[in-house]
Amino acid sequence: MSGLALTRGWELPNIRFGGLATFVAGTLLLAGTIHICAILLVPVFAKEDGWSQLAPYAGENQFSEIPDASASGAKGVAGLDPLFVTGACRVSLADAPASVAVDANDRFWSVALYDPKGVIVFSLNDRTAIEGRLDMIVVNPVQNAELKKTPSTEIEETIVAESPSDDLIALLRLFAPSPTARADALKILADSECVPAPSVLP
Amino acid sequence: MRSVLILLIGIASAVGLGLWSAWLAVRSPAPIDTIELGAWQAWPNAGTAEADPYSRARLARTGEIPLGSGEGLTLLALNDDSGEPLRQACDYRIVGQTPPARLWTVALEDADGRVIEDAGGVSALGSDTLLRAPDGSFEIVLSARPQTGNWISTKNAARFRVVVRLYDTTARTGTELTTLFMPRIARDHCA
Repeated sequence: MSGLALTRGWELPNIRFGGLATFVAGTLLLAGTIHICAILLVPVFAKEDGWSQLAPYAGENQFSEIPDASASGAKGVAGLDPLFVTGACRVSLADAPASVAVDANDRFWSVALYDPKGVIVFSLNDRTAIEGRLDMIVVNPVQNAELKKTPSTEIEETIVAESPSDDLIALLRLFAPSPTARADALKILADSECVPAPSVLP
Repeated sequence: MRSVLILLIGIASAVGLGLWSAWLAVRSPAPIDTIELGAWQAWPNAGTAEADPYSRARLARTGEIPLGSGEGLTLLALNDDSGEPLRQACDYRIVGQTPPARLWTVALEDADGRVIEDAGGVSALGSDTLLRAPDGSFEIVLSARPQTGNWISTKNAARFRVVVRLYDTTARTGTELTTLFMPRIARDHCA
Protein backbone atom coordinates (compact mmCIF):
# COMPACT_ATOMS: atom_id res chain seq x y z
CA MET A 1 0.00 0.00 0.00
CA SER A 2 2.72 2.34 0.98
CA GLY A 3 4.50 1.61 -2.28
CA LEU A 4 1.39 2.55 -4.15
CA ALA A 5 1.09 5.78 -2.19
CA LEU A 6 4.67 6.66 -3.06
CA THR A 7 4.00 6.00 -6.71
CA ARG A 8 0.96 8.20 -6.47
CA GLY A 9 3.01 10.89 -4.84
CA TRP A 10 5.51 10.73 -7.67
CA GLU A 11 2.65 11.00 -10.11
CA LEU A 12 1.75 14.47 -8.93
CA PRO A 13 2.63 16.38 -12.09
CA ASN A 14 0.47 13.91 -13.93
CA ILE A 15 0.64 15.51 -17.33
CA ARG A 16 0.94 13.78 -20.63
CA PHE A 17 4.05 14.34 -22.73
CA GLY A 18 2.24 16.98 -24.77
CA GLY A 19 1.20 18.57 -21.51
CA LEU A 20 4.78 18.60 -20.24
CA ALA A 21 5.98 20.32 -23.38
CA THR A 22 3.27 22.93 -22.94
CA PHE A 23 4.26 23.34 -19.31
CA VAL A 24 7.93 23.86 -20.15
CA ALA A 25 7.19 26.16 -23.09
CA GLY A 26 4.76 28.21 -21.00
CA THR A 27 7.26 28.51 -18.16
CA LEU A 28 10.07 29.59 -20.47
CA LEU A 29 7.84 32.08 -22.25
CA LEU A 30 6.78 33.61 -18.95
CA ALA A 31 10.40 33.58 -17.71
CA GLY A 32 11.47 35.38 -20.90
CA THR A 33 8.79 38.02 -20.44
CA ILE A 34 9.79 38.57 -16.82
CA HIS A 35 13.46 38.74 -17.86
CA ILE A 36 12.75 41.44 -20.46
CA CYS A 37 10.52 43.42 -18.09
CA ALA A 38 13.17 43.27 -15.37
CA ILE A 39 15.90 44.50 -17.72
CA LEU A 40 13.74 47.37 -18.96
CA LEU A 41 12.61 48.33 -15.46
CA VAL A 42 16.06 48.40 -13.84
CA PRO A 43 16.89 51.92 -15.15
CA VAL A 44 13.47 53.16 -13.96
CA PHE A 45 13.89 51.95 -10.40
CA ALA A 46 17.66 52.10 -9.95
CA LYS A 47 18.46 54.52 -7.14
CA GLU A 48 22.20 54.60 -7.53
CA ASP A 49 22.51 55.32 -11.23
CA GLY A 50 25.14 57.75 -12.48
CA TRP A 51 22.77 60.71 -12.52
CA SER A 52 21.70 60.33 -8.89
CA GLN A 53 25.34 59.95 -7.87
CA LEU A 54 26.45 63.11 -9.66
CA ALA A 55 23.43 65.29 -8.90
CA PRO A 56 24.25 65.98 -5.21
CA TYR A 57 27.70 67.29 -6.18
CA ALA A 58 26.79 69.20 -9.35
CA GLY A 59 27.04 72.96 -8.96
CA GLU A 60 24.36 75.46 -9.96
CA ASN A 61 25.67 77.87 -12.61
CA GLN A 62 29.22 76.76 -11.90
CA PHE A 63 31.39 73.66 -11.89
CA SER A 64 31.87 72.01 -8.51
CA GLU A 65 34.49 69.40 -7.78
CA ILE A 66 33.27 65.82 -7.50
CA PRO A 67 35.21 63.88 -4.87
CA ASP A 68 36.41 60.36 -5.71
CA ALA A 69 34.93 57.59 -3.60
CA SER A 70 37.85 55.77 -2.00
CA ALA A 71 38.21 52.27 -0.64
CA SER A 72 39.32 53.76 2.67
CA GLY A 73 35.84 55.19 3.13
CA ALA A 74 35.88 58.70 1.66
CA LYS A 75 32.49 59.54 0.21
CA GLY A 76 32.17 60.50 -3.42
CA VAL A 77 31.48 59.11 -6.84
CA ALA A 78 33.00 55.76 -7.80
CA GLY A 79 34.60 55.05 -11.15
CA LEU A 80 36.23 58.44 -11.72
CA ASP A 81 39.87 58.66 -12.73
CA PRO A 82 41.91 59.42 -9.59
CA LEU A 83 44.51 61.30 -11.65
CA PHE A 84 41.85 63.74 -12.80
CA VAL A 85 39.98 66.58 -11.17
CA THR A 86 36.35 66.16 -12.18
CA GLY A 87 33.82 68.96 -12.01
CA ALA A 88 30.06 68.84 -12.53
CA CYS A 89 27.51 71.54 -13.28
CA ARG A 90 23.74 71.20 -13.50
CA VAL A 91 22.38 72.54 -16.80
CA SER A 92 18.72 73.29 -17.46
CA LEU A 93 17.62 74.21 -20.95
CA ALA A 94 13.94 74.68 -20.05
CA ASP A 95 14.15 78.49 -20.01
CA ALA A 96 17.23 79.32 -22.03
CA PRO A 97 20.27 77.79 -23.71
CA ALA A 98 23.34 77.33 -21.55
CA SER A 99 26.85 78.53 -22.12
CA VAL A 100 29.85 76.40 -21.13
CA ALA A 101 33.32 77.91 -21.37
CA VAL A 102 36.64 76.39 -20.38
CA ASP A 103 40.08 77.94 -20.71
CA ALA A 104 43.03 75.61 -20.15
CA ASN A 105 45.85 74.89 -22.55
CA ASP A 106 48.43 73.28 -20.31
CA ARG A 107 46.87 69.85 -19.89
CA PHE A 108 44.46 67.28 -21.25
CA TRP A 109 40.82 68.00 -20.46
CA SER A 110 37.44 66.90 -21.70
CA VAL A 111 33.80 67.89 -21.43
CA ALA A 112 30.78 65.58 -21.51
CA LEU A 113 27.07 66.29 -21.33
CA TYR A 114 25.30 63.62 -19.33
CA ASP A 115 21.52 63.17 -19.38
CA PRO A 116 19.24 61.67 -16.71
CA LYS A 117 18.93 58.42 -18.67
CA GLY A 118 22.69 57.91 -18.41
CA VAL A 119 23.39 58.79 -22.03
CA ILE A 120 26.33 61.02 -22.88
CA VAL A 121 24.67 63.25 -25.46
CA PHE A 122 27.84 65.15 -26.36
CA SER A 123 31.52 64.98 -25.55
CA LEU A 124 34.75 66.53 -26.73
CA ASN A 125 38.32 67.02 -25.56
CA ASP A 126 40.74 69.93 -25.57
CA ARG A 127 41.90 69.16 -29.12
CA THR A 128 38.58 70.54 -30.36
CA ALA A 129 39.15 73.73 -28.39
CA ILE A 130 40.82 76.65 -30.09
CA GLU A 131 44.11 77.40 -28.30
CA GLY A 132 42.82 75.68 -25.21
CA ARG A 133 39.68 77.77 -25.10
CA LEU A 134 36.24 76.25 -25.47
CA ASP A 135 33.07 78.26 -25.98
CA MET A 136 30.07 76.04 -26.14
CA ILE A 137 26.36 76.73 -26.34
CA VAL A 138 24.06 73.93 -25.24
CA VAL A 139 20.60 74.01 -26.79
CA ASN A 140 17.54 71.80 -27.06
CA PRO A 141 16.13 71.05 -30.55
CA VAL A 142 13.67 73.98 -30.44
CA GLN A 143 16.36 76.46 -29.45
CA ASN A 144 18.69 75.05 -32.08
CA ALA A 145 16.07 75.66 -34.79
CA GLU A 146 15.73 79.26 -33.61
CA LEU A 147 19.48 79.66 -33.54
CA LYS A 148 19.81 78.44 -37.13
CA LYS A 149 17.14 80.88 -38.33
CA THR A 150 19.27 83.85 -37.35
CA PRO A 151 22.90 83.08 -38.08
CA SER A 152 25.10 85.48 -36.25
CA THR A 153 28.81 86.04 -36.71
CA GLU A 154 29.37 85.95 -32.97
CA ILE A 155 28.83 82.26 -32.56
CA GLU A 156 31.13 81.21 -35.37
CA GLU A 157 33.86 80.14 -32.99
CA THR A 158 31.30 78.65 -30.67
CA ILE A 159 30.51 74.97 -30.59
CA VAL A 160 26.79 74.29 -30.55
CA ALA A 161 25.73 71.11 -28.79
CA GLU A 162 22.17 69.94 -29.17
CA SER A 163 20.61 67.86 -26.44
CA PRO A 164 17.26 66.08 -26.66
CA SER A 165 16.92 66.41 -22.89
CA ASP A 166 16.37 69.74 -21.10
CA ASP A 167 18.03 68.46 -17.98
CA LEU A 168 21.78 67.79 -18.13
CA ILE A 169 24.90 67.56 -16.05
CA ALA A 170 28.02 68.96 -17.68
CA LEU A 171 31.16 67.07 -16.64
CA LEU A 172 34.57 68.67 -16.91
CA ARG A 173 37.58 66.36 -16.48
CA LEU A 174 41.02 67.93 -16.05
CA PHE A 175 44.21 65.87 -15.98
CA ALA A 176 45.88 66.57 -12.66
CA PRO A 177 48.44 63.94 -11.70
CA SER A 178 50.25 65.90 -8.97
CA PRO A 179 49.21 68.07 -5.99
CA THR A 180 50.27 71.25 -7.80
CA ALA A 181 48.44 70.19 -10.95
CA ARG A 182 45.38 69.51 -8.77
CA ALA A 183 45.51 72.97 -7.27
CA ASP A 184 45.77 74.48 -10.77
CA ALA A 185 42.93 72.29 -12.00
CA LEU A 186 40.68 73.42 -9.17
CA LYS A 187 41.39 77.01 -10.17
CA ILE A 188 40.51 76.25 -13.80
CA LEU A 189 37.36 74.55 -12.56
CA ALA A 190 36.36 77.63 -10.58
CA ASP A 191 37.11 79.93 -13.54
CA SER A 192 35.15 77.82 -16.00
CA GLU A 193 31.74 79.06 -16.99
CA CYS A 194 28.48 77.16 -16.92
CA VAL A 195 25.54 79.59 -16.96
CA PRO A 196 22.18 80.16 -18.66
CA ALA A 197 22.62 82.22 -21.84
CA PRO A 198 19.27 83.69 -22.88
CA SER A 199 21.02 86.34 -24.99
CA VAL A 200 22.18 83.93 -27.71
CA LEU A 201 18.60 83.66 -28.97
CA PRO A 202 17.03 86.66 -30.71
CA MET B 1 -6.37 21.13 -7.53
CA ARG B 2 -3.45 19.43 -9.20
CA SER B 3 -3.53 21.73 -12.20
CA VAL B 4 -3.53 24.77 -9.89
CA LEU B 5 -0.46 23.41 -8.16
CA ILE B 6 1.28 22.79 -11.49
CA LEU B 7 0.39 26.27 -12.62
CA LEU B 8 1.83 27.75 -9.42
CA ILE B 9 5.04 25.73 -9.81
CA GLY B 10 5.28 26.94 -13.38
CA ILE B 11 4.78 30.59 -12.43
CA ALA B 12 7.22 30.38 -9.54
CA SER B 13 9.96 28.82 -11.62
CA ALA B 14 9.30 31.33 -14.43
CA VAL B 15 9.66 34.26 -12.00
CA GLY B 16 12.81 32.73 -10.54
CA LEU B 17 14.32 31.97 -13.92
CA GLY B 18 13.42 35.37 -15.37
CA LEU B 19 14.83 37.40 -12.49
CA TRP B 20 17.92 35.21 -12.10
CA SER B 21 18.80 35.47 -15.78
CA ALA B 22 18.19 39.24 -15.65
CA TRP B 23 20.52 39.54 -12.68
CA LEU B 24 23.18 37.50 -14.44
CA ALA B 25 22.98 39.83 -17.41
CA VAL B 26 23.35 43.11 -15.49
CA ARG B 27 25.77 42.16 -12.73
CA SER B 28 29.01 44.05 -12.65
CA PRO B 29 31.07 43.64 -14.75
CA ALA B 30 28.43 42.72 -17.28
CA PRO B 31 28.99 39.85 -19.68
CA ILE B 32 26.90 41.47 -22.41
CA ASP B 33 27.98 43.99 -25.05
CA THR B 34 31.58 43.47 -23.97
CA ILE B 35 34.81 43.53 -25.93
CA GLU B 36 37.51 41.27 -24.54
CA LEU B 37 41.22 41.73 -25.20
CA GLY B 38 43.20 39.20 -23.20
CA ALA B 39 42.60 39.99 -19.56
CA TRP B 40 40.92 43.29 -20.44
CA GLN B 41 37.26 44.10 -20.96
CA ALA B 42 35.68 47.22 -22.44
CA TRP B 43 32.15 48.46 -23.03
CA PRO B 44 32.49 50.98 -25.85
CA ASN B 45 28.72 51.29 -26.27
CA ALA B 46 28.11 52.14 -22.62
CA GLY B 47 26.53 55.55 -22.19
CA THR B 48 25.94 56.08 -25.90
CA ALA B 49 22.57 56.35 -27.56
CA GLU B 50 23.33 53.01 -29.27
CA ALA B 51 23.58 51.24 -25.93
CA ASP B 52 21.30 48.22 -25.75
CA PRO B 53 18.81 47.75 -22.88
CA TYR B 54 21.28 45.47 -21.08
CA SER B 55 24.02 48.10 -21.01
CA ARG B 56 21.53 50.67 -19.84
CA ALA B 57 20.34 48.40 -17.05
CA ARG B 58 23.91 47.64 -16.03
CA LEU B 59 24.95 51.29 -15.94
CA ALA B 60 21.83 52.22 -13.99
CA ARG B 61 22.63 49.51 -11.47
CA THR B 62 26.33 50.15 -11.06
CA GLY B 63 26.15 53.94 -11.27
CA GLU B 64 29.28 53.93 -13.41
CA ILE B 65 29.84 57.09 -15.43
CA PRO B 66 31.47 56.05 -18.69
CA LEU B 67 33.74 58.23 -20.79
CA GLY B 68 32.08 59.84 -23.80
CA SER B 69 33.13 58.93 -27.32
CA GLY B 70 34.98 62.25 -27.58
CA GLU B 71 36.78 61.66 -24.31
CA GLY B 72 38.18 58.16 -24.32
CA LEU B 73 37.71 54.51 -23.49
CA THR B 74 37.91 52.58 -20.23
CA LEU B 75 39.35 49.07 -20.05
CA LEU B 76 39.03 46.89 -16.99
CA ALA B 77 40.97 43.83 -15.83
CA LEU B 78 39.77 41.68 -12.94
CA ASN B 79 42.11 38.77 -13.55
CA ASP B 80 45.66 38.18 -14.66
CA ASP B 81 46.46 36.51 -17.97
CA SER B 82 45.96 33.06 -16.52
CA GLY B 83 42.45 33.98 -15.37
CA GLU B 84 43.25 34.18 -11.65
CA PRO B 85 41.70 37.12 -9.73
CA LEU B 86 44.15 39.93 -8.92
CA ARG B 87 45.18 39.98 -5.26
CA GLN B 88 47.70 41.61 -2.97
CA ALA B 89 49.51 38.37 -2.16
CA CYS B 90 50.96 38.29 -5.66
CA ASP B 91 53.16 40.66 -7.62
CA TYR B 92 52.16 41.39 -11.19
CA ARG B 93 53.85 42.86 -14.22
CA ILE B 94 51.82 44.77 -16.80
CA VAL B 95 53.95 44.46 -19.92
CA GLY B 96 53.56 45.63 -23.46
CA GLN B 97 51.94 48.55 -25.21
CA THR B 98 48.62 50.32 -25.15
CA PRO B 99 46.50 51.33 -28.15
CA PRO B 100 47.24 54.80 -29.54
CA ALA B 101 46.05 57.51 -27.19
CA ARG B 102 47.25 61.02 -26.42
CA LEU B 103 47.15 60.24 -22.72
CA TRP B 104 46.34 57.21 -20.67
CA THR B 105 46.22 56.34 -17.01
CA VAL B 106 46.34 53.07 -15.14
CA ALA B 107 44.72 52.89 -11.70
CA LEU B 108 43.74 50.33 -9.10
CA GLU B 109 40.21 50.24 -7.75
CA ASP B 110 38.15 47.95 -5.55
CA ALA B 111 35.21 45.83 -6.68
CA ASP B 112 32.87 48.85 -6.36
CA GLY B 113 35.05 51.10 -8.50
CA ARG B 114 36.38 53.08 -5.55
CA VAL B 115 39.87 54.55 -5.61
CA ILE B 116 42.61 52.73 -3.69
CA GLU B 117 45.01 55.04 -1.88
CA ASP B 118 48.44 54.51 -0.43
CA ALA B 119 50.70 56.71 1.67
CA GLY B 120 52.13 58.47 -1.39
CA GLY B 121 48.75 59.31 -2.90
CA VAL B 122 46.52 57.23 -5.10
CA SER B 123 47.48 53.90 -6.61
CA ALA B 124 47.63 55.17 -10.16
CA LEU B 125 50.10 56.13 -12.88
CA GLY B 126 49.81 58.40 -15.89
CA SER B 127 51.42 57.80 -19.28
CA ASP B 128 53.14 61.20 -18.95
CA THR B 129 55.46 59.99 -16.16
CA LEU B 130 55.91 56.43 -17.38
CA LEU B 131 59.41 55.05 -17.98
CA ARG B 132 59.59 53.29 -21.32
CA ALA B 133 61.94 51.04 -23.22
CA PRO B 134 63.45 52.53 -26.42
CA ASP B 135 60.82 50.69 -28.51
CA GLY B 136 58.03 52.43 -26.59
CA SER B 137 56.97 49.40 -24.59
CA PHE B 138 56.75 49.55 -20.83
CA GLU B 139 56.58 47.42 -17.73
CA ILE B 140 54.57 48.37 -14.64
CA VAL B 141 55.01 46.36 -11.46
CA LEU B 142 52.05 45.93 -9.10
CA SER B 143 53.41 45.05 -5.70
CA ALA B 144 52.87 45.79 -2.03
CA ARG B 145 56.63 46.44 -1.68
CA PRO B 146 58.45 49.36 -3.32
CA GLN B 147 59.99 48.53 -6.69
CA THR B 148 62.34 50.32 -9.02
CA GLY B 149 60.93 51.55 -12.31
CA ASN B 150 57.19 51.90 -12.87
CA TRP B 151 55.49 50.78 -9.68
CA ILE B 152 51.93 50.89 -8.39
CA SER B 153 51.47 49.99 -4.75
CA THR B 154 48.94 47.32 -3.81
CA LYS B 155 49.62 47.88 -0.12
CA ASN B 156 46.07 48.88 0.76
CA ALA B 157 44.22 46.47 -1.50
CA ALA B 158 43.67 42.86 -0.54
CA ARG B 159 41.83 42.44 -3.82
CA PHE B 160 41.75 44.91 -6.63
CA ARG B 161 41.09 45.42 -10.30
CA VAL B 162 43.10 47.42 -12.82
CA VAL B 163 41.54 50.17 -14.91
CA VAL B 164 43.22 51.63 -17.96
CA ARG B 165 41.66 54.79 -19.33
CA LEU B 166 42.69 55.84 -22.83
CA TYR B 167 42.07 59.51 -23.54
CA ASP B 168 41.66 61.02 -26.98
CA THR B 169 42.05 57.64 -28.60
CA THR B 170 41.17 56.15 -31.95
CA ALA B 171 40.53 52.87 -30.14
CA ARG B 172 36.79 53.48 -29.94
CA THR B 173 36.03 53.05 -33.59
CA GLY B 174 34.59 49.64 -34.35
CA THR B 175 37.27 48.39 -36.73
CA GLU B 176 40.09 49.42 -34.40
CA LEU B 177 38.57 47.61 -31.45
CA THR B 178 39.01 44.17 -32.93
CA THR B 179 42.71 44.69 -33.62
CA LEU B 180 43.71 46.43 -30.40
CA PHE B 181 46.80 45.40 -28.49
CA MET B 182 46.66 45.60 -24.74
CA PRO B 183 49.50 44.82 -22.35
CA ARG B 184 49.74 41.42 -20.71
CA ILE B 185 49.18 41.03 -16.99
CA ALA B 186 51.75 38.45 -15.89
CA ARG B 187 51.71 37.02 -12.38
CA ASP B 188 55.10 36.93 -10.65
CA HIS B 189 55.71 35.17 -7.39
CA CYS B 190 53.02 35.00 -4.73
CA ALA B 191 53.59 35.33 -1.01
